[in-house]
Amino acid sequence: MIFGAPILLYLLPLAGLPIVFHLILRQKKRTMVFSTLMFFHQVDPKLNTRRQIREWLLLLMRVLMIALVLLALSRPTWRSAVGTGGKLSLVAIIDNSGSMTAAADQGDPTKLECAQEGARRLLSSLEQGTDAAIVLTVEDRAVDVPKTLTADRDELLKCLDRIAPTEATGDAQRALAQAFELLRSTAARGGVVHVFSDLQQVEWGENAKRFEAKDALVHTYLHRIGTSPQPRVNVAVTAVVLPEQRILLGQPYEIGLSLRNNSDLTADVRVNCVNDRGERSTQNLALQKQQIATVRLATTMNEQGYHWLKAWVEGDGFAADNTAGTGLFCEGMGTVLFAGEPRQFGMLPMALCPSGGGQLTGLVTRFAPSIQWGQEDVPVLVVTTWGGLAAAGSNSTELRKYVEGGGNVLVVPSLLPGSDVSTTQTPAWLGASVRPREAYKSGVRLALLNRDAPFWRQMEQVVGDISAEPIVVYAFCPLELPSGVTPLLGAGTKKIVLAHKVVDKGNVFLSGIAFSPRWSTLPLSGLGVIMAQRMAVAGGSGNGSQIVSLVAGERPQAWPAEGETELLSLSGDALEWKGPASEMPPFPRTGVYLATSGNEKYCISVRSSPKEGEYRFVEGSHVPTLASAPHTVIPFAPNEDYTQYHAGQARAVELYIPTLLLLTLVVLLEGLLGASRIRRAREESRARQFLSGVAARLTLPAVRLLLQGRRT
Amino acid sequence: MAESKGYRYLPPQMAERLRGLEIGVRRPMDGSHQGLHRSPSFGSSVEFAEYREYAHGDPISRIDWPVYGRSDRYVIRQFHEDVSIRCTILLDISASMAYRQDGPLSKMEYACHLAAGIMYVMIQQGDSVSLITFDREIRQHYEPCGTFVGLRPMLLGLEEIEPKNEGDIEAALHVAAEMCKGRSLVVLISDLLQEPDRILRGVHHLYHDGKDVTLLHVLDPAELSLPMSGLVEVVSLETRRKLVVDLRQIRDAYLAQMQEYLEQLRRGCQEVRADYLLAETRMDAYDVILKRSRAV
Repeated sequence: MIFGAPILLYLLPLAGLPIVFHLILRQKKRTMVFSTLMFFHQVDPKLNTRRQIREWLLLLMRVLMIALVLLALSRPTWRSAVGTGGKLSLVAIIDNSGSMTAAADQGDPTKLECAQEGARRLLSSLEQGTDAAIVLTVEDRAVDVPKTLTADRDELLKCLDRIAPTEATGDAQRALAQAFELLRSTAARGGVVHVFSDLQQVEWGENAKRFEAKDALVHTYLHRIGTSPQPRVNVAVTAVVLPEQRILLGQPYEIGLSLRNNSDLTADVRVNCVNDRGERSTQNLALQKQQIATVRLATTMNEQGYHWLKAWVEGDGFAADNTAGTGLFCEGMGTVLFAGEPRQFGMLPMALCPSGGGQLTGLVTRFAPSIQWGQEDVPVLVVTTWGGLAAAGSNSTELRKYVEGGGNVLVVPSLLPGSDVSTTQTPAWLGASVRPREAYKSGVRLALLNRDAPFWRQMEQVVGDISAEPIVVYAFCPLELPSGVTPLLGAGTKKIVLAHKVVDKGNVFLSGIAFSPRWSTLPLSGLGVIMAQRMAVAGGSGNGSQIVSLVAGERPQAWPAEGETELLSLSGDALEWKGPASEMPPFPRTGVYLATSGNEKYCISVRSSPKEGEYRFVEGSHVPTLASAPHTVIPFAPNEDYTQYHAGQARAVELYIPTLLLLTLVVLLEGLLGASRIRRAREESRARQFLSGVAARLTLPAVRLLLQGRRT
Repeated sequence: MAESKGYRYLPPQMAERLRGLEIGVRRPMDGSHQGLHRSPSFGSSVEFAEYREYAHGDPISRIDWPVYGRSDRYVIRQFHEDVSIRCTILLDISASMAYRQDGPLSKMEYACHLAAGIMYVMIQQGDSVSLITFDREIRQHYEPCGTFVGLRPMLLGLEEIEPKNEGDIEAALHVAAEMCKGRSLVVLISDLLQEPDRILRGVHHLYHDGKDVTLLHVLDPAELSLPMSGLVEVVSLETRRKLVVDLRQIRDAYLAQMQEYLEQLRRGCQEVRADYLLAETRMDAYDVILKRSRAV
C-alpha cells in the first residue's frame, strides 16, 4: 500500500477524537436505588445491551469516518508484485550515442537500429492501456519524445522512427534518473526500465557517473547489443584550435584540427574541409598508431560577420567521432587609431598598415588629435603617447571602458622633440609611469622577459624562435610598473622597456621605446613589425561576439547571456529554438549555431565526441552506472519475447474510489444509527399522543378500554 | 389507651381524626358477636329479612300472630343478624417497600400508618382485627383481637418492621387465604410490585373463599412519574440487580407501562368486586382510610 500524500497519514490519530470526546463528554452515570426494575425490563428487555451496542457502533462509525476521510485524501494505492490486475508502467531507454552508429554483431544493421527494433517490439508487447515512455541517453529535440508516461503506443512508435544517429556521448545517469522519476510519479511508484545499449564503458562503466536509485521497486533490464569487431583504424577529432587573435578581413588564418589515431595501426586518412562559401579542401594524412596530430586548415574571410567551417576525417572505420564544426567571426577591416600627429609615432603606422589600404595586414590607420572615435568605427588598437595619455582627461574613462570591453591600447614615448615624459601623470587605473629617457650610444641589447607569457607564445606560433634576432636599444624610457603588469622586454631585469597588462577583456601594452630606428633596431626588424601587428589583433572580438566550443551532447555550462535566447543553425542540424538560456538544449550532432540573446551574439561550435570511438564495453552482469539498483543484463536478441519481463513487476490499483465508497457507506450507517434512537422516541411519543387524543374524545368506556388495550 | 403511649404509626391526632369512621364490607360476613355488619345468618336485629313457615321446635313467641289472624298460617318473622366481623391486614414488608423518593415517608412507613389506622377504626367499630406481615412468606401473624389492649402488640409490631427481603405477593395471598377461615375482610397493603396477573390470582383465591378484599396500593410519587433524568444505573431494592438506562429516553415508555399496569390491577379488582385504592405516599393516610370508609 502506498500513498500519494502520505503526510496526511500523520493525521490518522485524529480518528481517535470521537473516542476522546466520548470519554471526556460522556454523561456521568449516577446510581439510583429504585423499588423495582420490572417496568424498565418491560419497556425494553434488552435495553441496556442494545443501547451499549448501538453507542459503540456509533463511535466506531465516527472513528471510521475520520480515518476513511484521511485515507481517501492521502490517495491510497495498492501495489502488487504479481499479476493481480492494475497497470504496468514501463520506460524504454534508447542509447542513441555516437557509439551506437557502429554495426551490431547481429549483422548489417547498426546498434541503434537494433535498439529501435527492440524497443518497437517491447512496446508492441504491452497490453492496451499500459503507460510507457521513451528516454534517450542523448537528448535530441528532433525526436521530441513525450515528457511523461503515455498510453498512446502509436505516438511512442513514431518517436522511435524519428530517432537518428548522433555524434554525442550519452548521459546514462541522467537518462536513468529521468526514467526512474517517471516511474516514481506513477501510482505504483515503480515499474520496469528496459535499456537498449551497447553498454560502452564511457557511459556505463566504472568512470561514468553513478546513478543512485531511490526506489528499489524499479527493475532495470539492460539489453546488451553486441558490437561488430573493432575496425582496423579509427581516427577521432579531439579538438579544434582557433586563432588566438582577432580575425580580420582578407587575412589568411589557420584552424588547427587535432586528431588522434585510436588504433594500433597506421591510419591513412583524408581530412576534408568545407566553409560557408562552399570552398573545399582535402589533406591526406598518415597517423602512426595512437599518434596525436594537428592539421591546419587554412581559411580566409572576405566578409564581415559570422562564418563557419566544417572539417571531417574520411577513411577510418568509425564515423561518429570524425567531424567538427567551427564558427568564426570576422571583424572586417581593423582600424588603428593614433591619438596625435603621425610624426610622434615614427614607423609604427607603417608597420601596422604597410600598404595604406589594409590589404596586407587587414589594418588601416587613422590619426586623431585626441583619444576619440565614433560608435561606427571602433578601433582595434588605440596608440597614444605617454603625454597624450596624460592629457586625455575625461577621455581616460572612455579609454578604460574601451579596454575593459576588449580593446587594445599601446602607449609609446612621443618622437616629438621636447616632449618630457617625466612630467606625465598616467591614469590611476593604469598605474604605470615612465622615467626620463636614457640614451646609450653603443646600444644595449634587450632581453626577452617572461618567455612563457601568452604574448610571446603567440609570437612564436607566427615567427618561430623569437630569440634568434637580437634587439638592440639606443634610447629608452624605463617603465615604472605596478603589480599585475607583465614585463616583456628589458635592459636587464631592472629597466623594463615593454610590458603587457590585461585589463578585463582588453590589453594595454606599455612601451618605453619609440618605434624609431634611432631608439632601437625593432622598427627595422620583422620581429618588431609582427609585434606591432600582434598588439593590434590581440584578444577576442571587441564588439561582443563570442565563440563557444562544445563537444556533441554537451550544453553550455555557464552561459554568459541571460533571458530569452534564440538559436539558429548555421551549419549542421536544422535547429530553431527560442527560450530561457538556462533551458538551452544540448547539441547531439556537430554543427555551428548562432545564439542571440538581446544585443549579444554567440557562435556555438560543436564537434563530435572523441570518446565514442572507444571500443570498450561493460562486460559481465553488473553495470557500474546502476550501482546498487537492481538490474539484469540480457544479451540482445532480435526475436526476444518481451512479455516475459512484464510479469512480476510493480502494478498499482487505485483505492481512492473504493475508499470513498466505503466512506459513504460508513456515513450512511452512522446517520442511521444516530437517527434511529431519535426517530423511535418521536414515533412512540406521537402514537401515544394520537391514541390518547382519540380516547379522550370517545365517551364509551369500553371503546376506551379497547383502545388502551391496543396501545399495549 | 394507645394515644397516651404515643404509638409511632398511630399518633393521637390521627386516632382522634379516625374516631367516628366506619369501614364496611360489600359481602355478608361471618361473626360470633353482634355487631355492625350483616351476617348471612338470621338474627335478632331490627331489620326485617323474610317470613318462613313455622317449624317444630321454633319458639311460639316468634310466631307472627297478626299474619296468622289474616291467613290462618303459622309463620315466623325473621330478621337479619348484624355481627362483628374479623378483619385481616396483610402488610407487605418486602424490601421494595423501603423505597422513598418524592414522598414524605417511605412506602413502608406509609403502609404502617394505613394499617394502624384501619386496625384502629375496625376495633373502634367493634370488629376484631388481625395482622399478617409477609414478604416472600408469612413473617408475622398476630391473632385477632377486638380490643384496644389487643391492638397494642400489633401497633408495636409495626414499629419493628424492617423491610429487607424479596417479596412474593401471590404466594403470601394464597397462604393468607388458608390462614383466614370463614368470611372476613382482608385488607392488602402493598406496593404490588409483581406481575398483575399473579397478584390477581391471589386476590381471586381470597374472593372465592368469601373474603371481602381491599387493596391499598402504596406507591411513591416518583414511581408514578419518574421525574429523574439522565444516565442512571438503577439498582433494584429487592434483587439488587442493576440496569443502566437513560431515564430521559425511556420515561414515556415507562409511564405507559405504569399506566397499563395500574389499569390491569383496577380491572382485575373490579372483576372480583375488590376495593382498589391507589395510595401515593404524599397523600394523607387519613384521606385514604376515609375514601375506603366511604366506598361501602
